[in-house]
Amino acid sequence: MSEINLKNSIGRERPPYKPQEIRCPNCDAQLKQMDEHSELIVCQYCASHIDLTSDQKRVLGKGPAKKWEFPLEIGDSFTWEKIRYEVLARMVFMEDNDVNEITREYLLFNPRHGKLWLDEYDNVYYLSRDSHVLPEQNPMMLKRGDLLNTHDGKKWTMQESGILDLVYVDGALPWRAKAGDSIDYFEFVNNHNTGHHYDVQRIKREVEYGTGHTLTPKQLRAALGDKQIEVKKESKTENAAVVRRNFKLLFAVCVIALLFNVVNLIYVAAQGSHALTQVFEPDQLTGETLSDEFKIAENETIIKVKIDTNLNNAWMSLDTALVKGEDTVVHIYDSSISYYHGVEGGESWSEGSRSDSAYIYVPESGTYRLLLKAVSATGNTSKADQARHPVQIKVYSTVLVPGFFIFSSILSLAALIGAVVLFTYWKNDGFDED
Amino acid sequence: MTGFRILILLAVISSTGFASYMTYTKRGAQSIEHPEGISLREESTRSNRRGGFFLFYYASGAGRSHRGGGLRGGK
Repeated sequence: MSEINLKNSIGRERPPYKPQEIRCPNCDAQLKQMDEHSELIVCQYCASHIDLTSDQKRVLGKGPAKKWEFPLEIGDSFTWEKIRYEVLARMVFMEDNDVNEITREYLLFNPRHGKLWLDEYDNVYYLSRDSHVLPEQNPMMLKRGDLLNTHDGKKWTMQESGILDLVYVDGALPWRAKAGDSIDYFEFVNNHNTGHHYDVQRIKREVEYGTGHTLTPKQLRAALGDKQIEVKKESKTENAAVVRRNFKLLFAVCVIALLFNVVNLIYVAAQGSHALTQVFEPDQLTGETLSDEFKIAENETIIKVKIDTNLNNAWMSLDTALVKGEDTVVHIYDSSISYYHGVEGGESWSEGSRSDSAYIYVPESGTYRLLLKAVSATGNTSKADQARHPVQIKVYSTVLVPGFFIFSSILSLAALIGAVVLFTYWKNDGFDED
Repeated sequence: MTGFRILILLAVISSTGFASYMTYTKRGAQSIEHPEGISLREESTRSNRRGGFFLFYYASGAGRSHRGGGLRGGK
């Protein structure tokens, strides 16, 4: 940092700042204060934390014994937008006391252009600078996936938040940092997926804002010159704005599918023309009885045969045959209907149904009748040889089977609920590692 | 999480498509069992008419009828 008198071609020229020589109060080593705003400097020889805020330099304490490895050294160059910065301080932050959750942060300093922050997490590098653009809402009240507007008209989505604990610091900082200090951070990503971030940090009662973006390996190589370090292109964490957009798409698909299925279900249920209604008394059912004629006007159509009974703690076994013309049986099926109810332990219960429906695909139009025979009994009687209950038969022709749309409507509703549950879980910081 | 989202999306789209196809191509109904027909007046049928057509039908082994009932389950 010997060539500190860089020319600034824009605006009034700032008087040159000369680094001050100071001595470590502990080991008497000679140190350089590069930034006049530094409040703390860590002695590179004895790791003493020296308070620079008063004329009488004093040792605040010793840094932690553990030395952390950094790809960049104090004093290394970092050239960004043709401006040369130097690494002035290095910090290590740990989240959740997990040594795998380590963020290394570098303070980059240029006397005329101020400071930049270079953060590294899992070999992904992120460059930011302080910002004076304030948020319109309180960013600290938001959850992941929530939207935030800033006063420059930009829209952001909360990416993540947490607490970082400072576990190591060296170099010089504009505040008196010490191991154990906590920082609440709130990270937002640009809604238009530009790769830009908006950051909010709360250190004790002070809140700072910053903007920045992830560095590509090419950008980092260019900034570091000859010094090469390991770098990844992208973070494995999903972009919250993209996730939010994908969830909105999923909600829209689920809602559209649900509406489509319900509308079709209503349409299908409304199909069919009434062909026959007839009541059969128990003695008719005990023997075999043919129904009145009904007409099926179309080939390849579906008819619905609906059976209603007045069963009350009783069961019925009903055989039905579809008879074409006068005497040709083309289809036979049986129905088991039972309906039981009662009160047990103070709670009402019921089981079964008084009704049953059958859908039959009829290939040919024509005149048809039903042949019916039934037996029924009440209570726990398991065998019967005659019917004791009447039935009402209704036949509808040209119907469609609604079961598929009932199933699909239920599945769409379940999917929508599932998507909402998933979104809520994600917003509450679930799925940290996607 | 992406996997869950894709799974939900596929389930919704495929079930809706399946329901539409099956409903409007008239699937899901019972097929006619005897397209050739069984005559109610046939001699073999009539000979057993004391028990009726269904008795003849089930006795011939062509089908099976449920003839029992009563309260089932845990109640």
